[in-house]
Amino acid sequence: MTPTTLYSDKKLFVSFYKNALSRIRGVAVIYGILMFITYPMFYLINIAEAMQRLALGQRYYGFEGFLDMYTASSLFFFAVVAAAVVSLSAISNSFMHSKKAVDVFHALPVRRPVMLLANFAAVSTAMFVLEAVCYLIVGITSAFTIPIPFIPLIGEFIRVFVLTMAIAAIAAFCAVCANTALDAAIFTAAFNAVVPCYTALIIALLDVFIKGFVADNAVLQFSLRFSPVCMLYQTYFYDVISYTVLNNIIYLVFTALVLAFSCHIYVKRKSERAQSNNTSAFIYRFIVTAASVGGGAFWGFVFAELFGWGDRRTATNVIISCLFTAVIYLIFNAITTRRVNPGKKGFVWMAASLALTLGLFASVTTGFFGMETYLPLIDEIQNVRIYYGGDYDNISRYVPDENGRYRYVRGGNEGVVLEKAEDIAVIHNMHREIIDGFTSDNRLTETQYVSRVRFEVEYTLDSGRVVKRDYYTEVPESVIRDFTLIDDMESFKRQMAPMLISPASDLEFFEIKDGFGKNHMRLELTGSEKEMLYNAIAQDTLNRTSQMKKQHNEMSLAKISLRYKTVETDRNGIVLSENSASIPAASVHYTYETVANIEELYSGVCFEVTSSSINTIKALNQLGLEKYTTLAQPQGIKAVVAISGSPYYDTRSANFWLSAKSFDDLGFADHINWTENQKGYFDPQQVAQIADSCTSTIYGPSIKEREPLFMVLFVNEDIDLRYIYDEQPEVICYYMTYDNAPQFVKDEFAKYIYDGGYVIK
Amino acid sequence: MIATKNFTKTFGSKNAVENLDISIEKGRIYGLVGTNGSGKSTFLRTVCGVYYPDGGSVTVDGEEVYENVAAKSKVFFVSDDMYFLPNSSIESMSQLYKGIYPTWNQEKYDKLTDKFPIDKNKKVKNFSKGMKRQAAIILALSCQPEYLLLDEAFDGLDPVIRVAVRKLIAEEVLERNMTVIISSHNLRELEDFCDTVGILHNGRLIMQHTMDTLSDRYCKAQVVIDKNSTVLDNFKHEKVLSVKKSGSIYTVTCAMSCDEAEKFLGRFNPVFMDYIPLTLEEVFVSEMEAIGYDTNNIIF
Repeated sequence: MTPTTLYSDKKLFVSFYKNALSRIRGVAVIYGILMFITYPMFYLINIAEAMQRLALGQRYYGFEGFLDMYTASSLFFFAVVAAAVVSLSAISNSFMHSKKAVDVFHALPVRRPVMLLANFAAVSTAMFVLEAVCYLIVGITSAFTIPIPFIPLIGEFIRVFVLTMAIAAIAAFCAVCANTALDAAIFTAAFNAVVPCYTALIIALLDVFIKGFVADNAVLQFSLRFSPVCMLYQTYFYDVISYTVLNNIIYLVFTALVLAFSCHIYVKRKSERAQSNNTSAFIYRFIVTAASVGGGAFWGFVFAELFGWGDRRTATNVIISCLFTAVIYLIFNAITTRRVNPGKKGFVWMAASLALTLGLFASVTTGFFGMETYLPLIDEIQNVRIYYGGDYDNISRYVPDENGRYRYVRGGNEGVVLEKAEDIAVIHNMHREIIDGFTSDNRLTETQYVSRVRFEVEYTLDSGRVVKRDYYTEVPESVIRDFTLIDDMESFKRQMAPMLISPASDLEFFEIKDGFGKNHMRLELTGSEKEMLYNAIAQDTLNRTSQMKKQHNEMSLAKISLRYKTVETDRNGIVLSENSASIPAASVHYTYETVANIEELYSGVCFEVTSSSINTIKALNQLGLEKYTTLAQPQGIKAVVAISGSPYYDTRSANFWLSAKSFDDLGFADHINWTENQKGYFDPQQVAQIADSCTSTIYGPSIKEREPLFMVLFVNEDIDLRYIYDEQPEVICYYMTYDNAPQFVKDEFAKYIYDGGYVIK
Repeated sequence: MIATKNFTKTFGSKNAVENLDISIEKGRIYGLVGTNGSGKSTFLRTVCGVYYPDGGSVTVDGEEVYENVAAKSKVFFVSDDMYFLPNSSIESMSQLYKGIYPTWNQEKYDKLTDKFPIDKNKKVKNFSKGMKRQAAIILALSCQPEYLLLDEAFDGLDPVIRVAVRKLIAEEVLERNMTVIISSHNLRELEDFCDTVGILHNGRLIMQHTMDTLSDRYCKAQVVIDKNSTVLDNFKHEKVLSVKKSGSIYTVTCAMSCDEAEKFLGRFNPVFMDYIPLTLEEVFVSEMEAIGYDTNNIIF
């Protein structure tokens, strides 16, 4: 006889849900306190400090992440959130891992999926409440102090909650698969870590051992998406654009699928597995194998990096890697099985792990099976995309997306497409030179390498196939020279130079600074004047070539800053004026402001006016700005304080000949590495020679990477006298090109350069 | 009715229960006895839906139990190794069962918690083993299941409570026609309480009889036979479970009625013959000895 009234699944769900809530309540409160401490409490402290500073008219940069809504301690907040959801899931599902508890729970007239989902709902509810309280406190606080936009704040809360549910779903899945609570926790951690860890390992392998495959952060970012725990940190580290509403939907679908699969497995799961160490299950083997292959390969490659490759060394590295794989396998196997002997099946899986480790080594030693040195035939190439910024590498671009918001692009990050045959030939030749540089037959000696550069190229072949390579490697000088050929390409300039892309109407205003840095002004121009100057600059940009720069040995006569319209906003999406005392925009990577009729926005765009800038000089003269088109040598030099000489952009510290008694007293020592000059003062003749050689206070466009440049610091006063009276003299800085420099400077410089291991022609 | 047909349950390579056919009528108090590891608990766990049968079927009122809410609602299992939620009291446990068992009887629960000498609001983790057993029985009876499965249910209870519990269960059986399956090694207790008994060994049902028919089917006789006769071998018979000799007195236990035994033993012209009351324990031991599970094979 069936009971007269059977409870529906819904009622049973509610009953079990309430019970699950009561089971996790105590621990949830503890985590709630930790969450409050690590986020809202520190937020309140930061706000209090920010308010004090704002009252003093200072800008305050004490916040982190998306919308400046986090603090440094929020790093721990996300860790606590992850720990909370894993712990609460473990508690709610713990009955599955106890023989005693299974007898009670599995005997109850409740379907297992209902139990699992009720537990999941209870954990989600607890987390929802805890997270809502945290974000509510922040929201309310911001409403009365420094406002955070309401909708994005809600969005951030939803994001965290959606990820929390995804973690809870993984924890539920692991609880169902594992036989003990410890295994469930290990599996949950492993499932969140396995993809990012392997990606990091592969990235390391590519970066260190396989040329042409620099796996950049985008790959890691992508792999992190497989780990909701890692994704919690997404907005903390500013990467907001890549987390859209679609991500929430994807994670919700993911959560639903994982839960559905977990329910299916739970129904099939045998109760008698509780507390047992039956490790024949695939999941156990998978975790042990993943850990052993990853760990073995990691340590093997660490040794390879330390001791290098070679016939014997490679064999040693392989043996070490296999040893680590075997040892890690045995350790993990012992942890999961609680016994030392892995048994017959265990040894079979260990052999499979060793085979995978060997496979990884084979891929490295064969240069990723020959892909490292593959170069498509030039005749097959339809076009080339080269990721290179050249002179425009430091220019920030804001490209509008389909939502009317602006995407941040740095320099050549999006690449330039080259279609002309001669342009393609240049790139193809560079690529071949790079491959020749590291292949065994033509391997360059250490002294032939002049620099480590990034060469990222993407070929689209006639067949439609895309071949992409990304090198970060030492290259010979010829490759460095080839980069200047790219700079001179018209198609490169037309895709990279803002003045050749954007119309004059996108320009807000010009600023100009003379070569001495003395005169600095904003140009007040009419529309037609602005257009005339803009077009002149555009024409000169197009005309300027490396050859011209070399011929003219150009230094700057003046520097024109092109100020395009900007979209810097505050946290309410309101455009800030430059001197606003409010907290600055959440980040320059993100904005809510839609600026109509502007295709791209730029910042940091400058044009160096040199003697070859014929059109610009003409335009400036027409505008009555002659003083910006001429440059005089420095006058009245009494003494040269110091000369810095180093290949431009070189990371090594500069060398100096110091004439001052103690240059440190002038307050420059903190900025640059100076060395004492053993010679004392330059004599007046030398000072005069140096003065004649100086050309500008701004280094010129001809100064390219690795070309020597001297920075001369001098005074027009008697520095000893000033020193006695404890008054620092005014130090003036001029630049001096290598070609212009007096011979005695070149000689001293050559000694340093030689000692430093450089080859200077 | 609880029925199993060719029910098999395997743990690894070991068959805990093998091709078991049992049917237990409604309203019975069924005593399940057996050797250690004979499959008693496995049987009970499968009947209440904890285990899924690897072979055959296990039904309650004709319905498969596993993941069947309707069937499981009729069954309540009190495990030998009792479990209560961490930090729970009887009261908080009752909230769980109340929301899950549609037959929950609050009145009965209140009455039982009043009658039993335990505090319903006290944490169960502080209870003694016997008190925990009382708590489990209170909750079980309050759920008013049609089938109550008790695994070593009286273990740890003091004699007074033991009697009270037996009385309560008996009342439920009388009032609601509840079926009770009790697994226990305390055969003396089962003898007084059960109306049917089944013996399991190595996952198989050795015998199943009502207590009424047990005395008709088993007989224990003491016979004195001429000392020069070598009759011990002659006692060999498929229904003779055990023969013990003490001087000239033979104690013969056989699976036959007293009349049949008298006929069988009469062939040996006994000088003296008398019948001794047979306990369930003696039946059990004799049955086990008959299949080679006796102390001589265990104790060296």
